[in-house]
Amino acid sequence: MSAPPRELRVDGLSHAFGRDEVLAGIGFRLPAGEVAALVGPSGCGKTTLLHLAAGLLTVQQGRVSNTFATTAFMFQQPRLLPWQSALDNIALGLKAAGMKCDERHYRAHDIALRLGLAHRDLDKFPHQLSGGMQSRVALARALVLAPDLLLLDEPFSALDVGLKEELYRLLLDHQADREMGVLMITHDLMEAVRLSDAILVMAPEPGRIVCRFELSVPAARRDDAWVYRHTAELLQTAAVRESFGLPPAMPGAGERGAEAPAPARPVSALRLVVPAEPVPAARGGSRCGG
Amino acid sequence: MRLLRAWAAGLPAYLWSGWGAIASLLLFFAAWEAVSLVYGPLVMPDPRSAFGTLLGLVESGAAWPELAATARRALTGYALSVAAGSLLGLLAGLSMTASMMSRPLVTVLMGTPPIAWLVLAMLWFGASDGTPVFTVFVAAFPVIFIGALQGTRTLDNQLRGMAEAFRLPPRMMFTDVYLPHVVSYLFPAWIAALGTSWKVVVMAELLATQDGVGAALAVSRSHLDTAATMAWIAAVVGLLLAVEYLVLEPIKREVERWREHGA
Amino acid sequence: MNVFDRLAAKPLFMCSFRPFFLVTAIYGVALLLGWLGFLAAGVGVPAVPGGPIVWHAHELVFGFGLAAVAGFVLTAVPEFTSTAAFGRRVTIAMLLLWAGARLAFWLSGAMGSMGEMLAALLNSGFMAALVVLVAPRLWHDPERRHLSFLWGLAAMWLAVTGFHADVLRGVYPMPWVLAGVGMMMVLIIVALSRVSMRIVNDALEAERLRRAAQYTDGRTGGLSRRPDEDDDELLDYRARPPRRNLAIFGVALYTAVALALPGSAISGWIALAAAAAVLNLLNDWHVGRALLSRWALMLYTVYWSMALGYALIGLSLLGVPVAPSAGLHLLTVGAMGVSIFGVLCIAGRTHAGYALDTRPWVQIAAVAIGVAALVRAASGLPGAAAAGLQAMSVVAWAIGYGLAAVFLGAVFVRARPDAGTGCEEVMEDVDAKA
Repeated sequence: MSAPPRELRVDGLSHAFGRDEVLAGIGFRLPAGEVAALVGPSGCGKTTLLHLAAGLLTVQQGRVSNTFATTAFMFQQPRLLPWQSALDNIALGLKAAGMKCDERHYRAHDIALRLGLAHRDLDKFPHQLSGGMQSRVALARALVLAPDLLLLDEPFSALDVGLKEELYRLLLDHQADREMGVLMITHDLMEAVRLSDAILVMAPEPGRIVCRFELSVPAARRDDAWVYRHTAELLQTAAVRESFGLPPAMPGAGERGAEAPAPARPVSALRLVVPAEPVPAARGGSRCGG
Repeated sequence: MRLLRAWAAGLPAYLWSGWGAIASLLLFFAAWEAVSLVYGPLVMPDPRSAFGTLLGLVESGAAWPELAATARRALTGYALSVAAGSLLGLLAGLSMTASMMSRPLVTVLMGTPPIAWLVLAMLWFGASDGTPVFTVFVAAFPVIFIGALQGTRTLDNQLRGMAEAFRLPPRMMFTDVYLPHVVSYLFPAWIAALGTSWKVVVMAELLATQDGVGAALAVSRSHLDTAATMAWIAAVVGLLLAVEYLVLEPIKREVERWREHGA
Repeated sequence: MNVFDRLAAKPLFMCSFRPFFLVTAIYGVALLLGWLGFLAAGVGVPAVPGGPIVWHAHELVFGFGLAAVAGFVLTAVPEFTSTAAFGRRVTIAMLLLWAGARLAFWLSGAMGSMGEMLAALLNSGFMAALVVLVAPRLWHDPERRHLSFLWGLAAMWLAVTGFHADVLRGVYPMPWVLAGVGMMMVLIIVALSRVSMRIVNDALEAERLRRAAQYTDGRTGGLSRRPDEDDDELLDYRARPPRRNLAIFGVALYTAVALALPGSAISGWIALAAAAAVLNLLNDWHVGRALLSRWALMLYTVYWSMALGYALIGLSLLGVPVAPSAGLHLLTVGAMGVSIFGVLCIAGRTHAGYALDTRPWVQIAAVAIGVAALVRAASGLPGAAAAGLQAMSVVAWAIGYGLAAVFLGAVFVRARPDAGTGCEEVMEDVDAKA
């Protein structure tokens, strides 16, 4: 008797707000232990897709199947309850699951310390904490649930470089320990290259996945130089440029995009995968690699 | 329990911070003294004789029955308006249509002067307790209703989304998300309404009843006894100040500690 | 090198506060011993216009008090405004002006109207010179953060001048001394807000170190108490302007109204308001255990004396049977006496290159001055043995300031123990560093 594999599977997902078609024919699969990044410009339906995946919106067309045992969500803003202490905020999901007060405080305390919060911060109200501390609390609130799937909605976009780097590390440690699946939204290509195993590039109007990249080097082994190089490479691909509304890359530069790295360079770990699911013929939809 | 302990721990510092308020009250007494010095004791008795008269009233036991009657009426009307205003305001806030509909009605209620309600109440209830109680209710109700309405209307969608994402059961949704937010709007409204009740009840009594502080004021007016008038005023205002600053304000501070900015 | 230059080269004139603080302590003792002689035997007080009580009040406020004010202001204003210190010549000139003013007032009874005129010129001139010396620096300071000193000093000049104008007009001049007391209270509030920032925060720092040490001990002893399990973190002390301004407003308003309408119930209420406003100021001061440290507690009692003093004055004006002088002496002997002693000890030692004094004489002297204030106030309560208590108060005061004259005088006449050449605070020992 084998349980179905733990995965998040999205098939043929379309969504409209009123007459505005926001998403069209989205399909992907996120297995356990994989970090996938959804990148795309603002307004391409990334957040809607994430909310559909989390079950915060009702699916109109298509199918979302989530066989992970527990799912946690981390929002763009910390979204802490202002009238509860940091500790109670962290324990919120555990309380919702019906855990006893002592037990949930013990766990919340434990994870908070691991995420770099101090004892005395835990009794404070959110407004008494700095932005970085609030983000830690929000991350702790998600991770304390020991989720198998973590959905991240650009949670680090407002933080400074040092803090981002620290939270990336905390997140990756946690992810590796638990074989957690992570689906994150970002418009920051470098963040995507830094953290993810797979990058799904979205294009707007309507929101759709135009291509998928896979990164073969484990996230823990990527250094800054690696991240810079592959971010630059990603930014040269025609699909990414078109998605973000950038002018086509300079002649020559475009040729040695993802498909054909220049021989002089080290071998790229970035591999383009043309989406398995066919992108439905949306208006003027262009294909990867152009 | 934790709330009570925190309240007790913060009490000395809170009471000490009252010295600033006491200082400005004392400056007010100085101004009062100056006015009585200029216009003479018939127009304005000085603070000491007003307090002396009040002390006499308290010591002779004449003050308590009047104050009790006034407090009974004020609190009855206030309790009714708290119950009705909070409940109806919350319900109206839940529906966009209901809140749209209720706003003009509340404006009418607020815009009608309490004295007009008093005249109506006298026609309806005569010289019974019903007159001041009704007037207090009508004066305090819209304040609380608006507070409850705004509290419900301004619920943060982001927090609601967060709560859904963390699968909060409906009961927790109410106790952890909705209630603290709504209370933070309701509580100031309750305090404001208490002040209104206390003022309106004295006015209603002045015209409509045979006992209570308002009636005592009417008597002292007819005797041209300004010292007694000031004594009653001091009693009414003093009681309100005491209730507000010794009871309600500390509770409010504790309940809204999460709001304070720049700790 | 002439005599003047040789005199000016002495360490006593290295910085303005040195001679002024020295004469403050000595003059404080001398005045009260003279007063004791008058109380006991009716001798020891020169005949001045207005009589012995006017002499006692004028010399303690405008002589003793203003010497301390001059010493503090001439040292602190250059430091606050980051300007050069006043030179030795300025110091000596101001000291001579002060001494001349004292002499002229002492002799003003004997010399007749000429003497009164001279006393007026010198006393008013001394205060005017002080204002003129510090005004440009306070005014040109970029944020003008210390202007309150200027207004306080200018008002003090007004009180001194008003006093002597009334003497020349032949009017009883005592109300102006009382106004001077009010201005002294304002100056004390302003000055202590600066001094306390340092003293209280030092005490808090010591308290933090103590807690940290306790933590280390606890850990080695197997206790699991950690410093960060303490709910109440020790926040820095800030002397917040709004509360200070309310206190200054209360005191200044009382002073003005008491001058305009002596003895009225209006000023009684305002005096009570001033007392409440001063107590309100203490909100900033309630920082826990650190308050119990020597210097913080000394400054803290200054505010309490001030508040109780104004409260007693207010009650007396509103008809409670307390002698008006009881409250007044809590202001002068208590608030002024203790704060001047504190400033002598703190500013006097740090600007002479010494660390704060940890010897027990400081406590003895401070307690003596505090006792002097309480005993003097108690003598004004109904049914008290006034004469005996007043004599006791004088003796306690003389002990307090006598100790100050001996122990601090030794510091003021000596060269600095470090490499400093003027008013600098304690400097790091160059040898120890190398």
